[in-house]
Order: sequence, then C-alpha cells, then structure tokens
Amino acid sequence: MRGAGGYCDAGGVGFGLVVVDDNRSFADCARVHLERQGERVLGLASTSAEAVKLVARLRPDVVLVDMALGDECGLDVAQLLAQPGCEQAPVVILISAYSPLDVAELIAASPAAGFLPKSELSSDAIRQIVATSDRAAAGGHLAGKNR
Amino acid sequence: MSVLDGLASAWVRQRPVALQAVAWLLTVVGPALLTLAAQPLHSSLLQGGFLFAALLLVIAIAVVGGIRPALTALVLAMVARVFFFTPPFVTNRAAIMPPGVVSLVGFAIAGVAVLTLMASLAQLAAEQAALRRVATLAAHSVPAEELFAAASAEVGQLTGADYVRMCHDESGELVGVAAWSRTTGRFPPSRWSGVAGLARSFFPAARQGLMTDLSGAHGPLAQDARTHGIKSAASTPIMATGRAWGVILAGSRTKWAPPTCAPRCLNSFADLLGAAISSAEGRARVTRLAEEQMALRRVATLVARGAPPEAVFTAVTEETGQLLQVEITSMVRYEPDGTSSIVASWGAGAKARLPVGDREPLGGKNLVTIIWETSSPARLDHYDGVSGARVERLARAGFHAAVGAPIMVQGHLWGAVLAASFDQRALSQDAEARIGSFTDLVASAVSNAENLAELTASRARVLAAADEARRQIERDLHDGAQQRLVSLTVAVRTARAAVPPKSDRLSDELAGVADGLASVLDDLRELARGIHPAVLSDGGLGPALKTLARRSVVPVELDLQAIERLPEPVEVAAYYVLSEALTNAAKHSNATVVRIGAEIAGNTLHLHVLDDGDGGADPALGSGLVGLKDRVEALGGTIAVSSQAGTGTSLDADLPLAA
Repeated sequence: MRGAGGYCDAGGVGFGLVVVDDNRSFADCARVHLERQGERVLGLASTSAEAVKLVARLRPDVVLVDMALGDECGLDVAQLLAQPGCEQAPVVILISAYSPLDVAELIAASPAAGFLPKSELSSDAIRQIVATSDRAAAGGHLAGKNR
Repeated sequence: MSVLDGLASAWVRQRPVALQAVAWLLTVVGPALLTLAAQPLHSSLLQGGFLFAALLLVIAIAVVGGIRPALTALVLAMVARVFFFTPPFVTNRAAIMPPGVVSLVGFAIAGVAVLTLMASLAQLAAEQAALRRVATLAAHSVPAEELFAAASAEVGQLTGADYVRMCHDESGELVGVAAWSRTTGRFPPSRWSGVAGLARSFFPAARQGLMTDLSGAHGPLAQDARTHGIKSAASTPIMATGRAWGVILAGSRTKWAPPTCAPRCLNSFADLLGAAISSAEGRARVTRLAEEQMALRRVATLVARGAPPEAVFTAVTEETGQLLQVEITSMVRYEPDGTSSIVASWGAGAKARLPVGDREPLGGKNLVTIIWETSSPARLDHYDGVSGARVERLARAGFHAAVGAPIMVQGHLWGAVLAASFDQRALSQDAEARIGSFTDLVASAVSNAENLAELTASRARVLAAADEARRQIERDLHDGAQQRLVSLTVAVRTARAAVPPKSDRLSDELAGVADGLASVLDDLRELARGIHPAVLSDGGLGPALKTLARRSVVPVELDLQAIERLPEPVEVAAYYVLSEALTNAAKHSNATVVRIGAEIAGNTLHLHVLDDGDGGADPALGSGLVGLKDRVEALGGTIAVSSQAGTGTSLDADLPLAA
C-alpha cells in the first residue's frame, strides 16, 4: 500500500500523473493545463492495457481515468488500477464529460477515489480528492479496511 | 278359401269369450227358434220371410261373434229351411214348401256376400286403427325400439302371423330392431353379421317376398324363424330416405300361405315406418348440423377473440371428438425437422390418448404420414399393417380405424386433425369434411397468431432499432461535441492561467468564455440525457433508476431487488416506464412521495410504482402511457395503471426477460 504520507514528501514538486483517455485532444489539453499548474504528467494512455503497463512502469501518484474509454469502460480500468495488493497503488480519479449527477451511481460503485468532470479539471481539484482519499485510507488502515 | 282365411284371421281375433259364447248360443238356438216361430203360421209368405229373418240373424251373429258362428248359423238356417218345412215335420199340405233351389242359393250368396263385406270393412277398420296407433307413437317421437316393437305387435295381431321380425340393414349387417311372437309377445331382437341366406332373399331387393316353405332356407334369420316353428313367411322392405332401410318379416306356423291380407298390411306398416324413419333421420340430420354449427361457432368465437392457439387446438380436438363420436382425437403439427408433434389431444377417458408434445418422425404407414404426403384428407378403414409408434400403440389399445384432414395455413401444410375409433362404422362417410370445417378455423387461429407474433417482433425490432439509434446519437454527442467543448473549456482555462498578471480584463473575458462553454456543455448534456441516458448503457437499470430517483422532483423511495444487467430492450423499456411514471407523478399528482419497486421473479421483471397523490388519472388519456404500452407489449409484457380518486396512482408492469 501506498504510504499515507507519500505525497507530503513531494513538497513543492507536483504529483506524477498518468492520464488515461482515448480522446487525444482532451488528453493533450489536460496535460498542458495540469503541467502549467505545476503537476508532472508522466504519460498518456488510451486503452486499459496501455494504462496498466504505463502505471506499472511510471508508478504515478495519481491516475486520471476517463469513464468512457471507447469500447472499454473506464470503471473497469479504475478497478484494475486500484487493485489492493498492487505495490504503491496510485490514487485513481475518474474523469468524464458527463455531469457528476448523471454518473454518481457508477462512481459510488467503483473503487476510484473520486470523480472530476473534465471541464472542472485542475490541480487544486485533484489535490483535494487525493487529500480526502489519504484521510480515508488512513481511516481505512485503522479500521482494517484494505481499499 | 283365401277370402275366408283372411276373414278368419282378421275377425276371429280378440273377441271376448263371453261374446263368442253368446254368438254360438245364438247360432244354435236362433235357427231353431225361427223355425218354431215360422212353422205354426203355415203361411208361404212368412216362410219366405224365414230366409230373410235368418239372414238378419246371421248378420247379428257375425257382429257379435265373428265369422265362424255366423257361417254356422247360415248353414243351420239352410238346413232348417230344407228339412223342417217338408214332411214329416209338416203335415199340413198347404204349408209344405218344396225347397226352392233359387231362393236357397240366393240366401247363401247374400249371406256370404254380406259377411265378406263386413269382414273386409272390419279388417280395414282394424288395420287403420293399428296404423293410427303406430303413427301416433311415431308422431310423439317415442324411442325407436318402442315404435318398432309396437309396429311388430300390430302386424302380428292384424295378419294373424305367429312371428314378426323387423331388421335394419346397418352397412351390410342385419340388426334386429324388433321381434314378436304370438305365444310370447315381444322378445329381444338380435344382431347378425353379414346378410346371407334367408335375409339375402329380402336384401337388398326392394321387393316383397312370400316364402311358403322355410325348411330349405338357410342363414341366421331362417334358423331363428325355424326355432320359432315358422314354416312360411311374408316380407316387405322398409324404404327410408330412398334406400332399403330394413325389412319386416311375418311368419306362420302353418305350411299354407300366410293370410292374404298380410302383404297389404305389411306394406302399410312398411310405408308408415319408412316415413317415420325418414323423418327421424331428417330430424337427426338437422340436429347434427345444428350441433356442428354450434361447435364451429364456439371455436370461431375463440379464434375471433384472439385466444391463444393452444386453447383453439384443445377446443377443436374436443369438439370434433364429440361431434364424430369417436374415442380419441388429436392435432399434430408438422415440424421442420421431419417429425410431427402433438399440439392437442382429446379422449373421453381414453388411456391411449396421446400426450401433448409427443414427437415422432414421419414415415411408415400411418395417417399422419399419409396426410403429410398428400396434403389431403385421408382415412384408414383398418389398422392392418400400420407402422409407427403412435399408431401401433393405438392398434394395441383396440383402435381400428382413423380419419384425418390437413390444416393448411396460407397454402402450406401446417398440421392435421385426426380422429380414431374402436369401430370402423363409427366414422361416418363425411367425417373428413366435418373435420375439414374445423381445420379451416385452426388455420385462421395459427395464421392470426403468426401474424401477431410477427407484428410484435417487428414492433420490438423497430423499437430496438430506434433505441439503438438514440444510443448512438447520445454516444456521438458525447464523443464529439461534448468532448470538444470540454477540451475547449480546459484550453480556455489553461490560457487564462497563462495570462500575464495585470491583464485582469483578458482574464475575466477568458473566464466568461469558459463559463459560457460550461453552460453550453450543460445544455448539451441535458439534450443527450433526453435522447438516451448514458448511465443505462454503462451501468444498467440499477444505477439508471437511482439516477432517475435522485433527479426526480417528487421524492422517491426506491426498492430494487438485486437487479443485474438485463437484456437491453428490457432495461430501456423499464427505464422509460419508470421515467414516465415519475414525470406524471411530478406533473399531475401532487404526490409527496413515489414508491418504486423493481424485482425479478422467474423470468419476469416486475415494476411497481405507487404515489400518494390525488389519483383519478385517466389511464386512457396519457399519450405517454400509450407509448409505454406499445413498448411493453412489443416485448410481450403487460402494463396496468390504476388510479382511483383519493388513493393515488399505481402502475404495474411485467416485462419478460426473454421473448
């Protein structure tokens, strides 16, 4: 499991991010946008296989996963990446062009740490979700919860 | 002599003993008294009157005692006339009357003529009375055996026969329908197979027969007659509806010819019975037709009501079975794999009744295969040499004959209706035609059901295609315009972040653009959601209903029982049903809460919606509901709305998971 304080060490250095989205133009926009805000975008993936490979190689802190991955389902990818037992599993955040209201039920059922509408993507929003997730993870440790 | 035989036979019968005694007394005493009265007078005039008085006496005796005493009196009067009016009985010369040959012969002829006339009148009257009695019975529609027995007895009494038999020709078999003998009265008739011997001499010849010596005749009828001591017989055919229906036979124990009135008597009764039988058969035919029409109407009503084909099949096997009066009937369908399957069967308690669903390959000698090969009605008059599991089973169960007709649906052989009987004679000549009138109805029912199934399937296909198109449009919107708008929004925000400090105006403008883009995005999402809810395709009914519930204006209590992913048409239909119900509740009901239940039982998804609103919604008015009904019925489901004023509105829908 990823250490609860792993990201505090990062200090001024931004998170290492991987964006999983089959829409290249958005992925590029997101990369530029997030890098301008000080994050490090380590790589872009457009399929679940690519995503798994990339995450294993680059060991990012956060993975942004599009819910609609062409024929694949982002939710399944999130499930794969957030596998318990996976060494230093990254925080998985689902992103989507859908309104959060429309997909809330799907997110609730997924192991992802949170959800961001694509249009609201920002470094701050990501950090907020990671912080919440870390607290939950810490609570989870105490409660013996492994997810 | 034959005249007197006739007189004797007709007139002697049925006279009380007292009357006969009186007649014989008069016969003996009458001529004596007349002689005594006439002798002292010695008047030739009165003696001439003696013969006239004697004639009156003979008539009186005939009326009282019948022919024998009357004839005896006639003879005695003649003897008295010859002997007592000549010496030595008469001494007075003047009184002696020589026997006038002319007057005596005249007396005899007059006596016999009067008696003959009276006898034939009496015979006619008796015959008419007997015919009237039998006709009355026929008119009252007494049971046939009653009528035949009465007619036999009347014939016997009237002709003076010792033995009367009435037989019916049942497709070559001679069946006794009535029997009478002078000594025992009525006795039970018997049935003989085949027409041979004596019977053949009457059959099929529509002719009268007179047989004076039965000792040489053979066959069961002759034998039966001989055991009753019958030596001669007369017969006449009973003609009904244009054919020889049967025969009446009257026999006598004497070797002489039976009474001559017998032929006329037999003919009269044969005519009367023939007419009665014709009319009864006509009545039976009309009744049969009426029954058939009623049965056809019952089945036709079923078909018109759109009853399930299985119900029509069952009704047809039952109605044909009862109409044809056979033991079992069945309906088979010819399957594409070269078998025939039983789709309905009927049997009045028959063990050999074929089970529905039973399949057997075509082939062999059996009715199902014959009809399949010829597409025409067929019959098996016997089960000799039949092959095939079903027919062999029937043969073992004692069945002997079968008849069947094909069911042609839109010009193609679809199946057949079959009837089997223990008795070959039970299958009437027109059985095929009678079955045929039902197979047309079956064809209609099958054709209707197939059309309906095709219509339903095509409706489902149209809906599925439309749903798929909407899903695709939603997906295209999402992947295209929505994604580009999202990218643009992010790009604008990026650009805004890159705006050098102190360029607040540019920054604000870019913020305005980003907000505008976000707002367009919201509109587009709303539009896309209306076209097809993405959560339904991605997450299935459970998440979609939760989303629906969360977005609902009226609070929703959701009770979903373990709903996994279901076939897409079912998910879409269920979603639209509940979505429409929630929309209606929000718009019209003033409800404070809507309860939605969804559960899967067996192979069906049950949906239940109940609000606590005003109720009183007219289920027929909502156009949205009509669309839902179409959608649900296209899947073979049902939907029902109940809305009583004051009790809220409830909706129940059942959606089969597999068509």
